[in-house]
Amino acid sequence: MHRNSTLDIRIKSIKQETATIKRFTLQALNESKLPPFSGGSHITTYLPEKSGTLERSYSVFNLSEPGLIEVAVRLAEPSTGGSEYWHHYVSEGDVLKVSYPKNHFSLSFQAKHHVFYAAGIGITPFLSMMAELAEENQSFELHYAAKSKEQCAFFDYLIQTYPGQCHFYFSEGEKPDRLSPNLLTDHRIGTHVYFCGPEKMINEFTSAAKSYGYPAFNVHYERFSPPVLKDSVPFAVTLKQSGKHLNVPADQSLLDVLRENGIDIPYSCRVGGCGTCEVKVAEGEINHYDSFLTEKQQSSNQMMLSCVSRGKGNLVLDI
Amino acid sequence: MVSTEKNRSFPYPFGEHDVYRYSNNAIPLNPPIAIEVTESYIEEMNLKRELLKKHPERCYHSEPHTMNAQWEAVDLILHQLAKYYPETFKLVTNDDHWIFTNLQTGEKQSFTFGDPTTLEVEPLDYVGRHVQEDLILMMQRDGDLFLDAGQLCFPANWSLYFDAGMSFKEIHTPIPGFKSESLDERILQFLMRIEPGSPWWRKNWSLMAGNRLDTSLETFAEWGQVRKKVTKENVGDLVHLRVEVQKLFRLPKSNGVLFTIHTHMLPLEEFIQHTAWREQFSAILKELPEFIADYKGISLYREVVLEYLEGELKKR
Amino acid sequence: MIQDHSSLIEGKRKFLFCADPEGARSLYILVRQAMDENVPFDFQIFLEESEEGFVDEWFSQQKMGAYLYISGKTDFVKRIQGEAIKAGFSEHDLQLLTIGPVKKRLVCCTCHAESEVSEQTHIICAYCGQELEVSDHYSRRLDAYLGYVNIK
Repeated sequence: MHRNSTLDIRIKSIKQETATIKRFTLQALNESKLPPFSGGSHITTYLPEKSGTLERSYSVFNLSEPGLIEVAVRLAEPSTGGSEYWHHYVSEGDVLKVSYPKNHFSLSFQAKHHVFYAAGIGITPFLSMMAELAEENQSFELHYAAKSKEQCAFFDYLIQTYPGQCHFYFSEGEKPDRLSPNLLTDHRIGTHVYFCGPEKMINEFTSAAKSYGYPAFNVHYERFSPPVLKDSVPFAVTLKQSGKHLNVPADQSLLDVLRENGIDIPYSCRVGGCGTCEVKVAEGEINHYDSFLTEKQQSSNQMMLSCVSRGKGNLVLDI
Repeated sequence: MVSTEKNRSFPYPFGEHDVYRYSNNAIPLNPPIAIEVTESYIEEMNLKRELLKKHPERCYHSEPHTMNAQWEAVDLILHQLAKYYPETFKLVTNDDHWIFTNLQTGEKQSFTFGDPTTLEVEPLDYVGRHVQEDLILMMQRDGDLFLDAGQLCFPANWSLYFDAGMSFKEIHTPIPGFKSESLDERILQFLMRIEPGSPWWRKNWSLMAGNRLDTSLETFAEWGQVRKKVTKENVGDLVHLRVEVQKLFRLPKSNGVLFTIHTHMLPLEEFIQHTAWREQFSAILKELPEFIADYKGISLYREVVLEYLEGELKKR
Repeated sequence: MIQDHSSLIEGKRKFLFCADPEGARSLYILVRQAMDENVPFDFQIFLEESEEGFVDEWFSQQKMGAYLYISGKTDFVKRIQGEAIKAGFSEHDLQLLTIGPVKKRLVCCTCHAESEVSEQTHIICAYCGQELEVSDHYSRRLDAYLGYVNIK
């Protein structure tokens, strides 16, 4: 499976932000600086487990000096492996591989005002976004829900750095406060809203925004994507239009098998990045390994990039 | 007579097929070098700088919000020039105090990185004057990609002045067939997903009558007429294959895309020295649909070229 | 911009209707629908340009979920649209209904000078004399179409 170029980093420091959240500060191996990044960016980290490399993505920010990259990881119970690894097996001085920062959750350029809605660890993408807006003197506000002040990561930093722009909602304690989508009704025309938190919260807020008349253009959200499981097992394909059956062995791509059998699928990059080798899928479950299709396109299960993606069992292709 | 080095290093634009259609023919760029210095460096630098002096309104444009991206482009390109052509370019950086030396032109420039008042022209305009490539900045904003800055001296019949501010799809609306099977949507999606650390490149080709580099839309009335002057006697040295080597880099902090375009030209009589090229190109040109030939400006002399190629094929 | 002028766009919490005398009539059916559906709205007819002074403030006070219909002659629509964009409306928050002759601007590809055209397919550039073919290639930055040279 192709992996884009990676960065080697060393863990410079680890800080316990709350009982369950740790902040990791990453530095370059030599004296150089790590690349800068735009607000809302994330990196994929490659964690060396006994069973193989675990890939987990985290939003990046930098509250320390320039040239560093920081991530915050909440220990999930139960953990699918990533957060457990970070919390229990990563120490200062360790060296790891990570991807370059990439951005699938960027700020609106035309917005007159930005409003961030965060729940729990969902605060992380907003740290870099607010820093970028502050640098450019743009208008924004934050609404941040957590169980309590003690469990509210970066509370002090936010209060100090953005006084007057942050609103907190603590669900436990003497005066429980709930973050409600009702707040959306009062934002001025030209506001863009951003949501990050558990699935339920994102669904609640995006539905509410729509019901209040927000165009989709003004609504942004980032989900924590599910872990990518490595798989290189053989699978079978049936070609709907010709009725042909083909087997794709573990060590060959669907693209190669199709072309070997006279089906002239166009291709270019062969690494799942350019979209040229896309094929339509009529039935079957796809394992996507590309970096081209959007989340929506991938979950539609109607197309796949034949040079890298694979099927489970049998796929019916619409060719 | 073109040097054999130029002939050998000419970026042949065709792949395996004897058929040409519009596609996303981008592949990963390895090594990740955005610029290339060739033997026509000085000649092209002088031409470029003269055009910028005489026609700034068509050769340079930038929106105010591109400043950060412009500095990122300067950072990327100057470091690469010094790294990959160390005999020709030197870069010394002391925090944000930078000194760039171009030994080919004999110029030395000190400036404060990030401070536009320390350069005489905008950062993108400055760095463009040291490379043969045309430089375009596509800014990614609100779910689309926009041509927000560019230094363009050697365009293949388009206008930076007119296209500035347009989205990717808007720029390409005049190209017939570009929207078919959502190719424009697919290419846009590809561009928007380009990541830092993973640049891409592709080649674009056309034929042209004459070897003028400045084939801007603004001057079409001047150079377009040469298309009518192609004869079977002069076709070999008048008609050129014109190839653009295009490279795409994601700029990490501004999230913009730097698009560099290096234009190469080779007269047909040199091009046909390569048997494989001669054969493939003859097949491609014969099969090329009318609407593509027309858009590339080849229609007026296509037959003459085909006869020439056929004649040359028979000779060997 | 969706161009269905016979029925209100769904899901909005408030409508703003903005017209000059020529454009008012086209909005009545939409206003009627807003009244029937009990959606709050503002309706303003501008008899003269001088009356438009308060528009920027009116627009800036609006909240997300507001939707604007502008109806009238080309110049009026362009002016009001300009104010709306400045106030924060995006193309997803408004619709234009242009009444009367289409007035387009044409950019000469050779000298960049702009001329006004309506239904012509060819013009002569008044500044450099170049014969230009009117294309449908549109520049949002210049709000004008490209006039290009054809060699015969």
